[in-house]
Amino acid sequence: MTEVEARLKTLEDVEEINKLQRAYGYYLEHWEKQQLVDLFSGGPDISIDTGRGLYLGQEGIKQFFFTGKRSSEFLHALMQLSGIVDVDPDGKTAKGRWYGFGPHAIPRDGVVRASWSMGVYEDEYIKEDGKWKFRKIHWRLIFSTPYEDGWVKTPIMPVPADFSPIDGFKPKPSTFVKPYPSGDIFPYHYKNPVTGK
Amino acid sequence: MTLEELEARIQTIEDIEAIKKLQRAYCYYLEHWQDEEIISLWSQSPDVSVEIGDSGFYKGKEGVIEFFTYSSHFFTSESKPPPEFLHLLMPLAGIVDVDPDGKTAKGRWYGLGHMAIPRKGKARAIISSGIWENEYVKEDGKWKFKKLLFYTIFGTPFEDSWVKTSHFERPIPLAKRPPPSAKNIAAAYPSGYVFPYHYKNPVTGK
Amino acid sequence: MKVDEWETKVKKLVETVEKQNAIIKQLTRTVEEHDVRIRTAEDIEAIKKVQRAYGFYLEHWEGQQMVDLFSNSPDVALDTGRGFYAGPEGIKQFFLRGEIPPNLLHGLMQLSGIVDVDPDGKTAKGRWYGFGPHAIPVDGIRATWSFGVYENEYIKENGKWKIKKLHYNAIFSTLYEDGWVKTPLLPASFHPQEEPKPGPSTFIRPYPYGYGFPFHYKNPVSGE
Repeated sequence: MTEVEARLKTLEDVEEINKLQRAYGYYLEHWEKQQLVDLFSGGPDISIDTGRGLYLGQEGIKQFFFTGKRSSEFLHALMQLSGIVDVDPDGKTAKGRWYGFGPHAIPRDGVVRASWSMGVYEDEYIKEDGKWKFRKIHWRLIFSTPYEDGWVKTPIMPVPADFSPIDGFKPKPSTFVKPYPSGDIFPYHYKNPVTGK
Repeated sequence: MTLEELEARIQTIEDIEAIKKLQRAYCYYLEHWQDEEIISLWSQSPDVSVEIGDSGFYKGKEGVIEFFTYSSHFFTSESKPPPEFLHLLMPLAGIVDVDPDGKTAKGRWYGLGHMAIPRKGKARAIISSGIWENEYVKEDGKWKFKKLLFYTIFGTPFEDSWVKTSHFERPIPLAKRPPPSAKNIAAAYPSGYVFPYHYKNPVTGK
Repeated sequence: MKVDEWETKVKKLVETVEKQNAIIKQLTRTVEEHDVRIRTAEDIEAIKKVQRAYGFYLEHWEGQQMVDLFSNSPDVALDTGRGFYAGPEGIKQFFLRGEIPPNLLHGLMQLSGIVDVDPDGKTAKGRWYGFGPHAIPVDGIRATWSFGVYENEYIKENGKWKIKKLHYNAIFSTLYEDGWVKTPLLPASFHPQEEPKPGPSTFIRPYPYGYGFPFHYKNPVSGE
């Protein structure tokens, strides 16, 4: 590959990863389980952690996405925003930081309440068979607040029972659960774009 | 890799960026309903159309002009909105795909809006959310809108939330507008309806 | 071979060489154009990264990180409606605000960016939405929503894109309970160091001013 082709390939890789991440967001809205699972690498080294446990491997990913009940009142819009994607020099792996933000409506004990969710992703991607896929999704929740309350009054809501693991599956403990008002900054995969520090 | 192949790939990168710019420019004009600017973003083709939620399917050049012209859209003699009017609608999380011939393209976007539509002198704060599935066409080297289709998820008064009031009461009766297209289903929240994608799963291609 | 035959042969050879030279010239031009077009696409991507990185640093007000995104040029400037902060000293004054309490939330996502690189590839402009949730622990603490428009200028220095001018017009900054119609613009509670006093802001038109922040770009279709 010439230098020009390599530079073009990087631009295309970033665009493809952006599309993967945003497609993930659109599938999240109505929790399209199979579509979500299909976005992951086929390798053993995959994981997802959104604060309700660290789910490892193919089995973990399926457990994570195949729970959750969908009804007509269910709304789980989490728009994938403001992404910063960096492809590693070998062009085979990449990392991305994104905001997730959106309006939810999730039944809890039979009652549907509107809520706003916001958080930060630090994800890892891998290129397999010429396609970019998720290797790791790591989400740090900033707040998940009832519509009437706001993040100061009620920063987090309990995870709905419908999303509990099934058949006695136990995920590992989550690795970073520091919602508002912890003040903790979710570590960056990149250095300052100007200083490199 | 031939020069022609290189050229085509570079062109695609540029096309995606140009289409994103078009979509974003449209929304920046929507803020204060700059109707002439908006209308100029449309293709000259007779097949153009615009449909926002259940506000009716407006087709053809005349339809697009009627829909976007402030006075005809809001059924008023005023030619532009008052200062209390705010129609912020951010285009977000866009997925743009250019067709192989490089002449047409499709895009899916989220829209998240903060609005204030004055009615009888009083403005009401509205939050709106929806999804665009649009078609674009390249004419004279410039990307333009061909078909704009916005599915409304909710349009809710600020005080209420989308669970309480998923669609605020419209000031203009829908009877005054053309009928919705067959493609547009009243699929607003809380229907659980998944708005159709123009693309397949990026990994499986299914 | 006779002289006239030689002459014909040489003439043909010269024609062939001239044709080849023309093709090489055309190919070189194409390759150079490709390089420029790829560089422009890379520039846009790099500028978007700087702007989005700015947004992520804003969340917990990482002051030094944000200062570092700005050019050191003497005509660097920032105006978010709180005064016109000029020069590298002004930028430092605006961003370095001492220890940040953990319950400060200053989410302002950088969204819907339109970036245009100038033909010389050394400067650029960008329009962005800024939107997000705040909570500022000064005289109590309340949740607020902020929304505004940026029109920024960027400059490439030593191969790196940096912010040269940051200009933000707040459309609203409202209490979570109230909304932008009831309470369009709250007075600011989180302040930069007071001295020296900055110049007056150049543009403050929140809701319900009804006026859009001027565009750096022309209509993408009509060019007007």
